[in-house]
Amino acid sequence: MPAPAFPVDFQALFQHLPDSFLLLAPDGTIVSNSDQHVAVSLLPREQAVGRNIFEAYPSAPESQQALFESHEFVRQHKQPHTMPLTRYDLDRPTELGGGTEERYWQITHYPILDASGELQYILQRPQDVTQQHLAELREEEMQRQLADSQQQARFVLEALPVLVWTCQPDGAMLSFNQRWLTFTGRSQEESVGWGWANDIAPEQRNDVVQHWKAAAAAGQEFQLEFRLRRADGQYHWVLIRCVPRRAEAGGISQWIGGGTDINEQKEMVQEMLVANEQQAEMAELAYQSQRQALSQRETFYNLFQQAPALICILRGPEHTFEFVNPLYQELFRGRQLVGKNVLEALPEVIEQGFTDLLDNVYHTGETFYGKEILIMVDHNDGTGPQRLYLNFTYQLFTENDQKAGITVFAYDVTDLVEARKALEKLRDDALVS
Amino acid sequence: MDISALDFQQASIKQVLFKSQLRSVLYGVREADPTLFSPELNPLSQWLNTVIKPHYGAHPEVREMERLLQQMLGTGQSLVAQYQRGRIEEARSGMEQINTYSDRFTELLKQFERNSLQVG
Repeated sequence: MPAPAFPVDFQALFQHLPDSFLLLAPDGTIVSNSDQHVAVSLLPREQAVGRNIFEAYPSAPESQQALFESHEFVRQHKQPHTMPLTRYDLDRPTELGGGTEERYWQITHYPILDASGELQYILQRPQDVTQQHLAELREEEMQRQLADSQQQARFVLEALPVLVWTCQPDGAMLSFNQRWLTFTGRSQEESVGWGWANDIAPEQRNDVVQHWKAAAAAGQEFQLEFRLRRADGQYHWVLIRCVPRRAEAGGISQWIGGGTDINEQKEMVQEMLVANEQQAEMAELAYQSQRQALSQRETFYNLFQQAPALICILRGPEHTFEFVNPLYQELFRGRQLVGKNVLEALPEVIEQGFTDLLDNVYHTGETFYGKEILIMVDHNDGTGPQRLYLNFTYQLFTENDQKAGITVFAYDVTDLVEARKALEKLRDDALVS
Repeated sequence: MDISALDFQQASIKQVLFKSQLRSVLYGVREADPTLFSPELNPLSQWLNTVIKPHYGAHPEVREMERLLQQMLGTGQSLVAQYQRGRIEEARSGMEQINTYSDRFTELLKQFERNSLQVG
């Protein structure tokens, strides 16, 4: 080796090299190390030099094994050897708190040969890649978490009972969730772009596609309703909504869409409408016929009120007065009739046999025709009982095929009878005389 | 002829029908009938105008019913406009507002029915 031009302190030079070096004898005894190695190994040089590397820097047995194998490689092949990334924790001096420090190393062993080519030293260059390695681990962890959350999002999208898709900025489809593909029974490949539009009901297809493209061009969230063919060939109404996803610059990077099958809803709304319309129509008819009935009732009521006959309605087996017209009321003037039964209102009719007649009509249903029947009525006005002759009918009426009561229709024929009797008397008198 | 329970039933039915018709427009089941939102031609308005107002126009309940009905028709019309502009979901959720008006209308109707049938 040529002598240097001026004396060089190689020992000092080695120790001051701006990197971490450890010089070993072939058997692993520490010969020297650089200041940086001292700094990273946290062991003063005096405590290292002359000791075996494994003794000076104790570590996990598997790390020591790898280190030993690398030394062996250099010893055998006299070639540099870079170890796989090695975890080689170092003792922390007690004055720095003791314990060990987690370290990762990229360690290369270089053979230093003497003039005859024999191994003189093994130079270890350990590069502390702890920070870099931890950063890589963190990056890996972040990637894993990202993949996890993407998988989670994917799972949610697939699990939701919703059709989901993404579109390019121009509205052409990029991808569909499984639910869409199951709904239409198409593959992702046949559906992307505008392939999916083939499943829109033919009469709506052009409108929907045009609307879709125009809305995408306008860049505003949009909603549409249309009929989409299901895998079984049936068209179902779907309601879709597309929302633009904007890049940081503000332009639309893609659209995200969601759709639901609203066929049932539509059918229900339709059915409700039809049912409500029918109900309204029937109620209107009922209302009109009730009004008509009311007005007819009014007409009949007026007719009965004004009829030149005595009319009353007796309801039920007790013959309760439900209606009396003014002429009938006049016959029993001063008495409360409506709401009372015949016995309560007209106690004197029992002995005159009218109650039996009424009961008979009610039970047999046979109409009774009375002709010139005498009835004695006491008005309790001091004039004494009045003799009246009546022509009348007692007629059963029914409601809903059930006996309901008796209608009474009577003419006062007293004057006629009296006149006839007078005539008869005259004739008899004439015959006698 | 006097106002009867059937008249009030008619009002109830017309009201439900109005909501059903509005909903069916918002669900694209049917086009809006031009009379649906007309203050003169809407059946419920007609009922109020011809059956109730001639007799009870000055009653505070009747005035409130009239105002509610106007709000109901106005809101209904704007929901249909919203639907036609493509704001489909928003238009449908607007039925809630209609229901609020309609619940109040029903309440007034019942209250008024009780009062007027008692007096009548």
